[in-house]
Amino acid sequence: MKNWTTRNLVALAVFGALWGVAEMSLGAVLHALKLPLTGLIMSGVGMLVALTGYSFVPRRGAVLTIGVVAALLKAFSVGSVVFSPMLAIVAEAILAELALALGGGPPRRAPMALAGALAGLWSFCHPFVGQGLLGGKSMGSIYSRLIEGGAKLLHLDPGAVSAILAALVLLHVVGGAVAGILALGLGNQLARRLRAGVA
Amino acid sequence: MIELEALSVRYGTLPALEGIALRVAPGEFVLVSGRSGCGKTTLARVVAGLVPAVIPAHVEGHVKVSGLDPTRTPPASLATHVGMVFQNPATQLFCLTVEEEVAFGPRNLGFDEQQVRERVDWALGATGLADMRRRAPFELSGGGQQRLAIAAALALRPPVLVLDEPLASLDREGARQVLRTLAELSGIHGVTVLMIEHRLAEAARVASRIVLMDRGRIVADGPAAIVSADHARLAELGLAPDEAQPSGRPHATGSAADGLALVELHHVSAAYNGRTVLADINLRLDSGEFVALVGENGSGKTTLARVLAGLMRPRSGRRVVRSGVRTEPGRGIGLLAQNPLDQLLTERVDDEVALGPRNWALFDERAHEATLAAADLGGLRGRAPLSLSVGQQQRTVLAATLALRPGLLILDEPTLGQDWAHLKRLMDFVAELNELGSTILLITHDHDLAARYARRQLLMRDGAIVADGELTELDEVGA
Amino acid sequence: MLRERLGTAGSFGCLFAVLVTACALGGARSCLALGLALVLALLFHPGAFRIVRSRTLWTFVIVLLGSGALWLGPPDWRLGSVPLSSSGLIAGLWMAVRALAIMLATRGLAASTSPGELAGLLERVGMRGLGFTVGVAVNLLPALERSSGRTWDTLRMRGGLRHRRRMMLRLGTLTVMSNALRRADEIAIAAEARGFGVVRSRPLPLRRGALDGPLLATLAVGLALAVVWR
Repeated sequence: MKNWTTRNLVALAVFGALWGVAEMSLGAVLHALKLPLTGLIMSGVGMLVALTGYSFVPRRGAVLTIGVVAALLKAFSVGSVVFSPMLAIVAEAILAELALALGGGPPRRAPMALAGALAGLWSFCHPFVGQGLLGGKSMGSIYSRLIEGGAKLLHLDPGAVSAILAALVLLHVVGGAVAGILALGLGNQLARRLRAGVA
Repeated sequence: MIELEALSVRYGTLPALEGIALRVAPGEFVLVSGRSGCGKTTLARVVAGLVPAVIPAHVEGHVKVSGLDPTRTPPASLATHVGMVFQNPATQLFCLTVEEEVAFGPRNLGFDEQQVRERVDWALGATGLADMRRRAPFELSGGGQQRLAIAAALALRPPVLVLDEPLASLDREGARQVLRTLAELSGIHGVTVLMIEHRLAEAARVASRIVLMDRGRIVADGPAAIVSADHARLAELGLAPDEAQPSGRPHATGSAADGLALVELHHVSAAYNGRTVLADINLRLDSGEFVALVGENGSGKTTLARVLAGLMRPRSGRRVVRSGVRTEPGRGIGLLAQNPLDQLLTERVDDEVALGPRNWALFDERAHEATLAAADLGGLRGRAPLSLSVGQQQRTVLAATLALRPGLLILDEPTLGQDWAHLKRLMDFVAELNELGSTILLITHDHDLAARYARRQLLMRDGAIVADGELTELDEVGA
Repeated sequence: MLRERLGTAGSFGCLFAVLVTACALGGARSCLALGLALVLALLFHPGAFRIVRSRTLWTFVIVLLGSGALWLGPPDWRLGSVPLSSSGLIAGLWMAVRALAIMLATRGLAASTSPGELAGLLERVGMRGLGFTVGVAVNLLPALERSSGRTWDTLRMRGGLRHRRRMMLRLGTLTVMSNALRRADEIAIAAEARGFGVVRSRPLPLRRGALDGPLLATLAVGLALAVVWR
């Protein structure tokens, strides 16, 4: 962050605040409605905002900064530090940052899609990681017995259960990738709109 | 303290200032006013050193502020000579507490903690914010936030303070607080104040001198009492109503068009995050009325508007819309929000006005052309809404709202950031709509505007309507 | 008061110590982690005990106990027709103890640390200017919420999401983002007018406590012993 300008920081603040607004408004509604795949939707929205921000400040650390700002705003809105959602946001930002670092250079479709995909994957894994941290190694055994029990109850093949899980993982990965690609397009449209405003 | 001689500024080929000559003595409080686009903001930015260092422009002439040439001094070095306060409080607050906000500038310039503390204490005391030092800036009212921005600029102890339309987004109480603070800074602490503002009536009471500008030039400069009494000149510059117009309510209609209720609220209450915002509202708006809803910020006016427009469901009570009138938001009742930018969704004026009808499968080419013509947007149809002036943006949003032919049009604080001339143009158009049968609800904290256009006023306070009547009655109540 | 003598570093040290202890020591030795969390909470973060009112916590504990009894060991008794394992129940108990320890420690940190201190800490590990960025975002948030609310209202008034949903959502998103970004220049100018520069920026202040050093040293020794004992 050494060569960043004040404008860079302010732009990142704006995108961090936008991610924060989305978490507080849309996130609150989805959680209240207890809809499935809330994590995927919020991760997608977050990546859409953060990666659009990257197209305005295409520098290493930009997405991470946007994520950290959004996470801290979550804490401010609740009135205290709330680790689980904050860690989710920051973890998604870190993974996106890693993907973009692999791609390097100006925003392009493949690195943005990969960034979104990894963030989407994390949104699927986060609850298990969190519970694993709390409960320890044996959580793995509990999950596998839970899946076995569920399969028996629903008269499903164990192979079918794995397929369902794989499909869920794929859904999260693809959802995230789509968010990443959409962010690229959104960034271009946004730049065009702002230029038109100056003209 | 401030010396400008033969100052001219150009943005590319566009002239902004021409041949400006201005001297401001130490401790003076000078109010600079003029219609939108006259160059007053450019003047402020030159004095504050933002032009051309941060905002590129071609500058000619002699400029000296507190012994320095701001056009050749980096902004960081100028900060202890000239403090700048901008229009929008939300864009000049960077810290998590009031105390940190005021300490921001001195810390940036490397003062030690002892010096920082002394400056913070002085600045908070001078602006009346000493007992709010631990509060978060965003928790303060609009007036409080502007006072905080003033304190933050003052912490660098500049002898000159430049303010660019600091009252623009404030209600009357907020504006009063800020003006009182500035008067004390000038009168007691000897700070030289250069304030750009077109809320002349309020600001003129505290300024010692008024400078009027038009098309990049100074056209009047003298003691505040004398310049502010020249109503003809002020009207010519679009800064005040034309007193030649008949007094009373020239645009208020006679009795309501048909005396039938268009929309009613029965015992309506509403809340946000558990906090009651509207309390037991009973209201009836008849067809053809022109009603003003006045009250200070936070009184519940905007929430009432959203409930009327069907955008918000009340916690209790009923909203009844006349049979035959569409109840979907935007159809029977249209709402123009404070900031037109929030309501401009597309990239062409033409598309903006057509958006609603196309979504509702109502688009008709002739009606569309008629709407554009009525709002005087024909020549702007291909322009990007973001490139328009504030007044043009407002007309675009108005046209987009009218395209759905609502029976009731609600305007929420259309005065924001507008000079009188532009505001009058908008309001005259709205008055014409009223004469053609539209019902209008004007939400404003500008009692003068309400008096000028509406026949009936509702006064809101703390979520309740505390007075409702013809203007003459409310004049007596002293609303 | 002891908690007033503990600074930001000390508070983080407490969480770190409990986390490492809980992860390094399994089974019955999880009680050490819980014991450590209880002592630290009593001494420095009594606000952490509000967690006993948390329904989520007790639900999780019951789930761990039940899951352990059902699935983590060979069944050796029955509750009605349901075969249960006593060794599994005990395994579930130690898992619950570990979870309690970690949740108590995180709640303790949350009760004693502000988001601003977190930002200050991150600034010191390389995220320069983060305090300024967070400050701008916090102060911009109410205006952005209002602005995006108005844009959403406008979307609804123009026909909402009845038809052309993708286009309307895209337009709404673009509007909110472009309006937010238009403020960015004003903010940057205002900051520079008060002498701000990324290079010059000072990190947000952290709380320093007299007990930070001694506590961190003690915890470090304790952790080392715990890991060796493991």
